[in-house]
Amino acid sequence: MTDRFDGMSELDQLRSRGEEAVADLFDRHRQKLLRMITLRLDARILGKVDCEDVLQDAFVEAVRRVQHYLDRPSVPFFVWLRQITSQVLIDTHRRYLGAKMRDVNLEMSRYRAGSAGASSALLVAQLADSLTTPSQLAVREETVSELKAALERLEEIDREVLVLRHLEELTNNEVAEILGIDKYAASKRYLRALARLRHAMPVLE
Amino acid sequence: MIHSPGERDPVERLADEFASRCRNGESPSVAEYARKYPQYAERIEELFPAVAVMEQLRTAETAEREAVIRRAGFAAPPEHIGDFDVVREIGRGGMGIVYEAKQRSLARQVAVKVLPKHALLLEKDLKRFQREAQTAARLRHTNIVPVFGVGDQDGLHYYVMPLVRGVGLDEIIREMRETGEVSADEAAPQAAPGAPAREPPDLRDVVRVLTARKFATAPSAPAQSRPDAYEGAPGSPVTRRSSRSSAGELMRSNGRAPDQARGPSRAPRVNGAKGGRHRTARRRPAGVDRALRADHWRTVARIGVQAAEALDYAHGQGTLHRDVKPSNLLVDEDGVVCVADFGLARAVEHTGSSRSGEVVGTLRYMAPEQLQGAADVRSDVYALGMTLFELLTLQPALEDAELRGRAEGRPGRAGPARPRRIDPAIPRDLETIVLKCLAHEPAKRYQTAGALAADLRRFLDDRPIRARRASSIERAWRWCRRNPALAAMSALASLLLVAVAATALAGHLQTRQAYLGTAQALRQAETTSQLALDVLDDIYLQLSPDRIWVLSDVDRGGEVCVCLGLRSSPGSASSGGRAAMQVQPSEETASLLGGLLVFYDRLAEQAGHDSPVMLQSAVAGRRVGDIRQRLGQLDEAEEEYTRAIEKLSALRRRPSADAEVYVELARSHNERGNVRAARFDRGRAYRAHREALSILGVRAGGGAAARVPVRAGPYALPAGQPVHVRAWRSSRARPGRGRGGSRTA
Repeated sequence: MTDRFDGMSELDQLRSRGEEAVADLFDRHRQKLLRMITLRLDARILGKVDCEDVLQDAFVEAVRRVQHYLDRPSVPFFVWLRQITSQVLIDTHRRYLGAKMRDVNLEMSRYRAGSAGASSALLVAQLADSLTTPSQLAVREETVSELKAALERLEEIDREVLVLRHLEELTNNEVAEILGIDKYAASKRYLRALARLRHAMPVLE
Repeated sequence: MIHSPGERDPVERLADEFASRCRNGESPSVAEYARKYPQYAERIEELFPAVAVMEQLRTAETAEREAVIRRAGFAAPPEHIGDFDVVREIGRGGMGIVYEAKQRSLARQVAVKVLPKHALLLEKDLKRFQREAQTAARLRHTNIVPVFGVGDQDGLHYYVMPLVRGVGLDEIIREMRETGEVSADEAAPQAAPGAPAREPPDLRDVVRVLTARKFATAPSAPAQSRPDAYEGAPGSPVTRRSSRSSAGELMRSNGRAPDQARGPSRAPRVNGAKGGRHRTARRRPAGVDRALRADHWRTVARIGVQAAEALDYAHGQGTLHRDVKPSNLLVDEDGVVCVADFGLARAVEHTGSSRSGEVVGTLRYMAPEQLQGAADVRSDVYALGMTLFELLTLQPALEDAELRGRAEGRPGRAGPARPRRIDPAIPRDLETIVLKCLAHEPAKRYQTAGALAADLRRFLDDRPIRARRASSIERAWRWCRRNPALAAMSALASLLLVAVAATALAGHLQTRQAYLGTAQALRQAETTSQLALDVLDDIYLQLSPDRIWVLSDVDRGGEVCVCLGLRSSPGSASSGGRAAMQVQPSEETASLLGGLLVFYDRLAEQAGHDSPVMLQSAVAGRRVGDIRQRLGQLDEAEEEYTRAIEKLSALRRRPSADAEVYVELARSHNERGNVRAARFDRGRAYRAHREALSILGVRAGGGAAARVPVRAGPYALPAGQPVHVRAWRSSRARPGRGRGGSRTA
C-alpha cells in the first residue's frame, strides 16, 4: 500500500530522516495536493489567495504534526497529507470568508459542483471531433451544467468518488486509501457512482 | 492498514484507460471499446459516456479555475521559454499572455505569446496551430506583425513575434473612454453652456502616453516635424524614434508625471479627484475643438486604411485573419498600425480556459456568417468595421444579449446603432463606410479589404465615397426580409414607408419633422407592434391615397413586388386632413386600405387579458371598422366597432384604465355613430355620438384626460342633431387633423 521509495517505505523514511523526509515526500505528492487545493478552494477567494501559499501552509502543518502521525499512523501518509490540507483549506476559508461561513457547508474541503463556476457558461475543450463553431460550443456548455446539476443530486459518497477520480485525477488505489476500503471495493464504488450519474443524466445518449 | 486481496473490476480498469486517453487529448470511442470487449459491451456502453463527460468537466473546471488564478496574477510567469528569457508580462487577452522576452541566441528583444495550457490539447489543434503559424510567418507587410517562430515547452505553446513598442486599440479605446469621462466631469461645473460635453482626447497623445507607460519609458514629445505614419502613406518605411524627454517637458505637454509601468495594470485613481492623471484642462474655443476632432476622425480613418491594406495583402496571400479585433491591432508611437495574430484564432478555437465574458468578447467582432462556421474575406472586413466602430464611438456596437443570441445561432434583429446617433460629430461619410462593413449580408459589404481601404482614402482626400447610404426603402425591404413571419404585413409596411416618403416628397406634410419621426418610429416598430400601430395610424391619417398609385405583382422568384408611383397633380383631397370622405374610394385606395386591413386584423386577433394587448387589439379592431367604413362595408364596420367597444368597456372598468382607453372608446362610439348615420339610422346614431361625447366629458374634469382637447365640430349639439366629434391625444397635437368624416344624414 505504501510507496516504495529507495527501498524503504515511507514510514521508515519519515522515521529515520525526519523533516527532510517530510519535505521529500511532500514533494512527491505535491501535484496532487495542489490539484486538490485548486479544486476545492472556494471560488470567492480563488482570486485572492495563492494556492501555492495554501500548499505552503499545509507543508508547515505537516512538519509540525508529523511526529504525532508517526506515533500512530492510522492512514497512509498521502491520505494524512490530504487531511492536513483539508484542514488548512477550512482555516483559509474561515479566515477569508469569516461571517459568510455560516451559510456555507462547513465541510469546505468537499467539492461542490457548481461552486466554482460563478458564470454558468464555460467553454469546454472539445473532445469529440465535430463541433467547432461557437454555437455548437454553447451546446456543450449545457452538457457541463447538466452534469453539475446531476452531480449535486448524487449522494455525497458517489459524488466524492467521481470527483476524486476525475477532477483530482487520483488512481483507484489512492481513492481506496482515502476512503479506507480495499481496491476492489473502491473500483466497484466508482462504477456504481458512474452508473448513478448516468442515470441522473438523461441527456447522454 | 487494510490489505486488499481482491482485484479491481476489469471494467473499471478499462474505464480508467478510457479516462486517461481523454485526458491526453484523444477522442476514444465508446463503440470501439464495446467492440473490443464484447463481454463487457453493455456496461461499457452504459458507463463510458459518463466517464467522457466527467473528463469534460475536469477540463472545464480546471481551466476555469486556472484562468481565475492567472488573472489574479498568482501564476508566476515562466522564467524561460525555450530560447527565450522572459523579462516581464506586457499584456494578456483571451488567447494568452504576452511576455517581453530576450532571445538568447540572437540577443534581441521579442514578444512571446503563450497560449493557455489547455489550448492545444488535441493533436489536430496542434497541427493546425503549426500550419497557421507557418502561413502567418510567410506574410511580409509593414502593417503585419511577423511571426518569428513557434514552439512548446512543458505543454505551454507559444509563438514569437517582434516586440512592438505600441499598444493595442483596445487599450487606446479604454483610455480614451475613461479620459473622456474624466474630462466631462471636470468640465461640467465650469463649462460654458455651449461647450462640448466631452473633450476629445487626442488619439496620438493617448498612444504615446500608453506606450510609454507600458514600456517604462518617458513618452516621446510630440515633435511637429517628425515623420508620422498618421500623416504619411502607409506601407512606407517609417523611422522610429523613442526619444526620452525631460520630466519637465513631459509635465508641460501632458500634465502628468511619467508612470512606472507595471505590466498591464494601471495605477489606481486617487480618491476624490477623479484620476490623478487628468489632462490639463484645456479650455479651447469651440471652433478649435471642431478642428481637433476633424483631425481625430482622420486619424481613425488612417488607422483603418493601414489595417485594411494589411488585410488585403494577407487575403491576397490566401490567409484570412478571422480574429480582427481591437486588441489585435497595435499602434506604435509613430502611428504605424500592425495587425497581429493572423490566422491563429482558428487554431486556438477551443481555448478551454475561456470564460463566458471572454468568449463573448471575441464574438463581439465576429461576422454573423463566421459564427456559423463560414468565413471569408468579407468576414474580416466586417470585423475591421466593428473595430473601427468602437474606435469611433468608444462603445461596443452590439449589446451583450444580442451577442449571446448570435453565439447560440439566433441572431436578433437588432443591428448596430448608427455611430452618429452616439456621437453626432462623426463625419457622415465615415459612418457610411463603417456601416457598409457591418452589413449583415456579406454581399452588401465591401467585397475586399482593398475596397474598404480605397473608400477610406477617398474620405481622407475629401472625395466622394463609393458606399451608398441605404435609403429608407432599402431599409424597409431589408427589415421585411429579416422578418419572414411578418411577411404579409411587412410588404405593407414597406409600402407604407415608401408612401410616407413619397408623400413627404410631394410636400403634403405639415412638418418634415413629423415624418422623419415616423420613419424612424417605423424602424423601431420591429419590436413593438404598439408602436407600429401608432405609426400606421399616423400614416393612415395622413395618406392621400389618390396621389399614390400602387401596383403589386409576383415576380419570377415568387417574391411579391410592390411598385409605387406618385401622381403629378394633387387629387381632390384637401390639405390638412380630410374634410370629406370619399364614398367610392379609388381602386388603389381600396387596395391600400385592404392591405392595412390585413395588418390590423392580425393585431385585432391578438388574444389575451393583458390590458395593453387588449387595448391594442381593440384599437386595431376599430381601425378595421374604419377601413370597412371607407370601403362602404357598413354592416361589417359596425360589427367591428361593437367588438372594439366591448373590449374597451371592459378595459375601462379596470383600475389601469388611462386616458387612452377613454379616447379610444369615445372614438369607437363616434364612428359607430357615423356608420349608423350613414345608414340613415339617425336615432341610434345620435345616441352613439352622445355617448362618445359623454365619455370624454366625464373625464374632462381632471387627471390626464384633461389634456385631451375635445372640440366639437362644425355641428353644434342641439337636441336631435348628430354631432361630429374630433378628439386627439395631446401628445400629438396637430391642428387640422381629423378623425373620421362628417356625415350628414
